[in-house]
Amino acid sequence: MIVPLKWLSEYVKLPKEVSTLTDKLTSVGHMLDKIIVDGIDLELRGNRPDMLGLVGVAREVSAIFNTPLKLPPTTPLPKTDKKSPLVSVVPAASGLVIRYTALTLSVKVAPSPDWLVKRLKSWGVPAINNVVDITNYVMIETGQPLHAFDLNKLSGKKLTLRLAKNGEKFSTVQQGLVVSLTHDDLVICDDKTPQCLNLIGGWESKVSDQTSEILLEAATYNQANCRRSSRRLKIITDGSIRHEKLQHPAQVQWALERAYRLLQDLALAKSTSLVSDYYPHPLNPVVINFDFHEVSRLGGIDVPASQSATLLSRLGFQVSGNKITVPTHRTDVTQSADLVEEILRLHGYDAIPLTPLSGPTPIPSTYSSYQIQEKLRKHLTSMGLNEVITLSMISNSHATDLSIKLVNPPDPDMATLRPSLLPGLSAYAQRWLDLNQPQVSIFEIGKVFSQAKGKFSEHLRLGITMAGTKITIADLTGIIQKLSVLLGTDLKPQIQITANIFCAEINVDQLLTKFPAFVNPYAMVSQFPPIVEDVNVSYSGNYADIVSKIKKASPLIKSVELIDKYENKLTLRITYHDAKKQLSSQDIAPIREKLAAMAD
Amino acid sequence: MREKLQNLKNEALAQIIQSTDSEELERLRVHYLGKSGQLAQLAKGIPSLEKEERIEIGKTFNDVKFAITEALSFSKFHTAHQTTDIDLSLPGTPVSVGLPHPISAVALEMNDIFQSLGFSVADGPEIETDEFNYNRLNLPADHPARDLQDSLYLQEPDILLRTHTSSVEAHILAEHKPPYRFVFPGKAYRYENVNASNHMMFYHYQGVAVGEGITLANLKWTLDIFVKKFFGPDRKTRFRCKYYPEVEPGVGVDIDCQFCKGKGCPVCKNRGWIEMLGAGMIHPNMLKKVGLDPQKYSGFAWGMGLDRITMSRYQINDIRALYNGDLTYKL
Repeated sequence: MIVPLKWLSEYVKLPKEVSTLTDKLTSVGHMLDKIIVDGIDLELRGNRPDMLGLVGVAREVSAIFNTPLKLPPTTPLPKTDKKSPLVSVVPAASGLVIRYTALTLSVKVAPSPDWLVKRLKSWGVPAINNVVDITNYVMIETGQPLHAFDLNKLSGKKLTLRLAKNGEKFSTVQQGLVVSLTHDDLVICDDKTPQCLNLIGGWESKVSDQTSEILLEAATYNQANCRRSSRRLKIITDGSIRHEKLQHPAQVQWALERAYRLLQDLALAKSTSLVSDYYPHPLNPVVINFDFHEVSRLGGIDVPASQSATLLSRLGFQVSGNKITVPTHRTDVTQSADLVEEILRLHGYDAIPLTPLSGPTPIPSTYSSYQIQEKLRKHLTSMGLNEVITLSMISNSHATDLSIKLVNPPDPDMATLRPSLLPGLSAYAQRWLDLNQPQVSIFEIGKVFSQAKGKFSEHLRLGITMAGTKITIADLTGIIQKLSVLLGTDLKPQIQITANIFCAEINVDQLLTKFPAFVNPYAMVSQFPPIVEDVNVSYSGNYADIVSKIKKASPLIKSVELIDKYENKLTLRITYHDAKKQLSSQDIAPIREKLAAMAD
Repeated sequence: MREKLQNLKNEALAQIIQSTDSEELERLRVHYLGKSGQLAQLAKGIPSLEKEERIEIGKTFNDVKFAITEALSFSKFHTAHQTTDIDLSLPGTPVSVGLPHPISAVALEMNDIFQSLGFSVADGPEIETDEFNYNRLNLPADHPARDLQDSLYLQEPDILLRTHTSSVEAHILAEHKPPYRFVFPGKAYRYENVNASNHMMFYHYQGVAVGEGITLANLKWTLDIFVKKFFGPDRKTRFRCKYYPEVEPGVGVDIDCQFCKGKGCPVCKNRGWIEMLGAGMIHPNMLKKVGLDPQKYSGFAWGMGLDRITMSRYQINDIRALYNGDLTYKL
């Protein structure tokens, strides 16, 4: 929000130093975006539509520095005519219009005076003529958008608010911009065609030098509908930004009164009708029963109730005991916690102490699904592998029958959620090989995605990829076997080999249910030395089977290691050991015979 | 005999300790332990001793032999290492060291800090429902804040990739009984056109603490400790009022700009402060939604961009490099 400081100072006294002002505004929730020529630019705050008007900013300044607020002069509107024919809202559109207030005025259109032109320019709005300029000026002041129609250009000299027809065309006030509407857009029509949207005025009934009588309106619409129309039609105006937020309908009358005053002063305006006020469900003021102890319960700081009440009053709240009435411009305040924020921000977040968390420390309960990731990361990095992260979205060429596609992908070629970590890891490895890394040893822990029978699911996987001219499958199986030992469970990965890139993928979700909580990799050296001897066996089929067969021959066989492999001949080192006594060759002889029989 | 052995030992040890080069040590070894050395000469006399004396002298003999051998090997080791003709600056045998991804490294550092403050680590699904990604975070349908985080849909309008890790907070609120404290690093996804500073996949680091009597003062303490542990003891924090739909009161936390030391520079947009995280007291609507009485229970929550912090910590200036192989590991 651009805030020209001289303009702002018309409503409230400002501190001498701009930094004093901006530091305080930042602290209470309106962060300085940047200093501009003769003004400041504040970041917009999502829930404070009142701050989209300079008077709203002035109210905050008045509350912060405890200085009086000077509201701009207004002229009361003519009486309301409950049967005014000026405006009607069709039942189908009633949900989209909260309040629509209008009257007609005779005017003398002319260029605006210099001061007005300069002010609009300082805010970034070009001057057009006194009537249009006043509607813009009042919007900047109050945050409430207004619109003036050339009454004589309105067929039937009245307005109907209805839903647009699909494909209905509308010529906006921006020359040449014609939009095609849908049944979801609200249109404000004369007896023939749409003359205005809740986002932007129309070309046909715009106020020009020839205009002698205007229909002036201010309204509150359904915010979500405004937002959707704005997105769909790609029209963003100062008015649409304000209509998207909940401006309180009470602001409508105040803005019209202010505009009436300026029109009288600068365009010799005289009312030519009573007021038409469509406002079927007037909003009651919000009253909150407030327990002042909530300030210390949530804030952790003691602010005496009387001081809290004073702070609320400075912000325009009416305090009567525990009953707090919210001023209409503060549509963001609806409950007790909101009042706590009001008191604390004005009292100063800086004043809140730093207090250690107390009470019982919760029992440590890190999720096992997270612990396993840390464990895998620790083991694999200790074995020299680097962890990488690849995108969850992959090229559609890797899609399978079960893979999930994004409905609205930012990159249509990468619309597939990965069903496996391996395509991404292989590409990553290739990228490193291309960068002349002689060897790549990487892993990734992450989610993969699939669907079956219309149900979407995700699983945690571990992918390991090794690549390089000197890499063999044994480098990969070596890692997996050691990882199996460290985790205390036998890992059964999916293996994928393409050229010199070796990949393995493990389902971590399944692992979670299998691996023991504790693995002991330590052992005392035995008092009784083992007997070690090498045997030759011929190899067919599966190495793991041979080892398990050998181990079954006797409980005294503690380990079997592969020493050498030549074609189908294996040299195995067998370690015999008994924890209770020294083994002799007589103990080993029968086992040796058994093994010899197996080797044949 | 025993005296002779002891004298021999003392003499030998004295000479070994005084010797400074390996040649002399070798000469001493031959002199005392060699085949026809001093010990071997004495050993010749042992068989002629009485049986009991023989056993005792045999023991002493072994002790002496052991002591001289040990002294020799100890001195040899040290003279070898005093040798000046080894170039220790030559590259040693390469050791392969694996590193975690920088995001994991930072998450680990943060987890350590928060775990020491009694927090545990949680995670949650990346495929989310509208209910957990939005509704339970006080972001009902048509809430304007939804526009700021354009969702990537799997199936409109109800199934999407989570747009923030606040969805994990929604699950924690639904599944745990207070008091609890959790942090949760994780991926989030939004409709973004990918460039050096924005990506459709990014990381958040969020946290939540719920119980009785939890206050903004506790929030300030927790996050101030985090900043000082993570960024350094001299760093300053600034807490200001800020709006987030998930919290009330809401807090923006800034850290002093290390480039200009708070004076104002282009990095901090002349503010002297860098926005670091969003926080606040959990919105009463969210507590009510899970059946907690907001008059009794309270809690705080915060969130920050894990990838942003990782990038500034490791001086990575392109977010794409975190995921596409443009990052090398320098160990």
